[in-house]
Amino acid sequence: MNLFIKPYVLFILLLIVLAVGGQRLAPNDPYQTHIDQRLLPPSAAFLFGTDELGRCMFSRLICSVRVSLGLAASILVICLVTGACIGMIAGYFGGLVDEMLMRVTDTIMALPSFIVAMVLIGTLGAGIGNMIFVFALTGWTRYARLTRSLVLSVKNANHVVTARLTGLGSVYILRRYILPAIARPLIVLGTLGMGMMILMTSSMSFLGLGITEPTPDWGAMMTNGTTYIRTAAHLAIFPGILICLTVLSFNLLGEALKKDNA
Amino acid sequence: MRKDPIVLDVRQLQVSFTTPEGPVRALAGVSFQVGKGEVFAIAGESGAGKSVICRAIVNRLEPGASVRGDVWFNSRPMLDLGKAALRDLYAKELTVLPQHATALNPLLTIGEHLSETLSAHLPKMKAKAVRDRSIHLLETFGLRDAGRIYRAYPYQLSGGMKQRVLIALAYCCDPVLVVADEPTKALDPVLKETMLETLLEIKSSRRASMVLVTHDLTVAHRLADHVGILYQGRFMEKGATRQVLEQSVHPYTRMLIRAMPENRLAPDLEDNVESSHGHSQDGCPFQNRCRWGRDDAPHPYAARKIDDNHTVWCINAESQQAFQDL
Repeated sequence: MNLFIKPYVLFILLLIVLAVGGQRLAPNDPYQTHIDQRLLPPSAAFLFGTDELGRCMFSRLICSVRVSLGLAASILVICLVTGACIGMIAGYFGGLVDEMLMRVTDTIMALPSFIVAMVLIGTLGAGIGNMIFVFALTGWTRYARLTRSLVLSVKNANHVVTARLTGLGSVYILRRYILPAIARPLIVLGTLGMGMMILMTSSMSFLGLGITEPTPDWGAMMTNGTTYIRTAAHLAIFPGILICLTVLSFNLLGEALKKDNA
Repeated sequence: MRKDPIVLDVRQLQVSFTTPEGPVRALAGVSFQVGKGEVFAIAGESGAGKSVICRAIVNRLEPGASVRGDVWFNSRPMLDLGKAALRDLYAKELTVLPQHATALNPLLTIGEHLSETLSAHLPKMKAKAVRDRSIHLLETFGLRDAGRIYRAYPYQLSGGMKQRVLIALAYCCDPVLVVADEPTKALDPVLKETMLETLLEIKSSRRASMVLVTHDLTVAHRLADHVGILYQGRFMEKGATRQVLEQSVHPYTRMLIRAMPENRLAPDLEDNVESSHGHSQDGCPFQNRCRWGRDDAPHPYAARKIDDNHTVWCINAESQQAFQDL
């Protein structure tokens, strides 16, 4: 199956281009206010209209891709790497190590992660660094669980047992024998998790606990828009559509990879 | 008697596993020695404990197994060695010849397999030297076009080629002892024949000892110097291959030989009841299948020495021998 002709893949590629290009691709300065051109509907000059300070919505949305997508992606990568390492150690070595790591995982999984994140952000203060820390703190558990079960299914495969009997070290076996064999399901779960991560970070910003003005972010822009939902609905609609399409695309990609994997 | 130095000395090895139905005794006191360059075959039916011996020799038994007895390899106590010491030993001195081509990692090329093992044990070797030696190894074990095979993935090779690669991997660091658990299992007759010839060739060209586990007496007969016939975790008959397989004394050995397809004789169905574990703990484990064992008195499990190179564990050994001589 050629993934590169699917609309959701093209959309994700477009998002990546926008994230890399950032402000350079925007037609107007996203921070430039035009106090005489507030809350304008979409027009030729301002493709998606302007917000309550007269800033170009289209440019702000383009710039927000880097912030929102970058934030979600960095949390996801940290979660995946941490989860994969902990899961591999627990699954491969087993015994007491496994028992201890998995009980920690269970404990964290039992906590309502979003509420924990809200409390921590409330204490530590908003900001990108704190957001990454708080979400990574609880997000790695699902990857650790999946990795552990995948490792258990391959660690007694004939070729892994043979590798142990040729005197290869554990770290080497984990890197060259176990990781390549379990990478695909992990990537699938990671892709599916990307949509969830975007929703979580956007929700946090929507509540005013994440990224704050003037930095453009999908969640923060939606909060902003709710105030004017009766007079200038485009302020909330466009970021909403962008979030929807992004989450949908990542979920569709995840599903496609899952089917490809099976 | 033996002239060669002893490489492997297994003394009174007992292994049992704990199961929900109670303990299962897999090995009930097995002893044998393997000299330098010698091939010792362990033959017997499924469940006799052949693979457990293999795993005990390389100290890879399940954590739950309780082990008694000693395994001395090159005057080192295998069962007491730590993980690091074992890792140092594997491949360099003691290797396992896997029985199936699934022992190759599908995601690594043949070259990567060989060079990772070589460089794990010879860390000072340069990459170029490792490569040359790997290709030379492949050529030595009868793989033509070794340069191409070096770059190939396991799925690109035929079954016979994979078998040769496995042999090359087992012998790549010049081991002292090779443990081969059913190396000819699940091979078609042609492959089996080439495999046997390769192993025979290695036997004559290298001074590596081998513990060969098999249920195929033909393989044992052609390859082994000494044979032990295992039944329910105990040796029934043990000694030089010719004596055990050509002048066998024990009724079980004879039954196995009669059951070979070459002899075109199926074993008596009556004799061929499923062997059951846990039965007679100290007596002869074969009694309930033995035609000499139909009396009520339990037969003891005791050794009878026929000569220096032939021992049989049967109380009727003398009369059996007389019977055979008639």
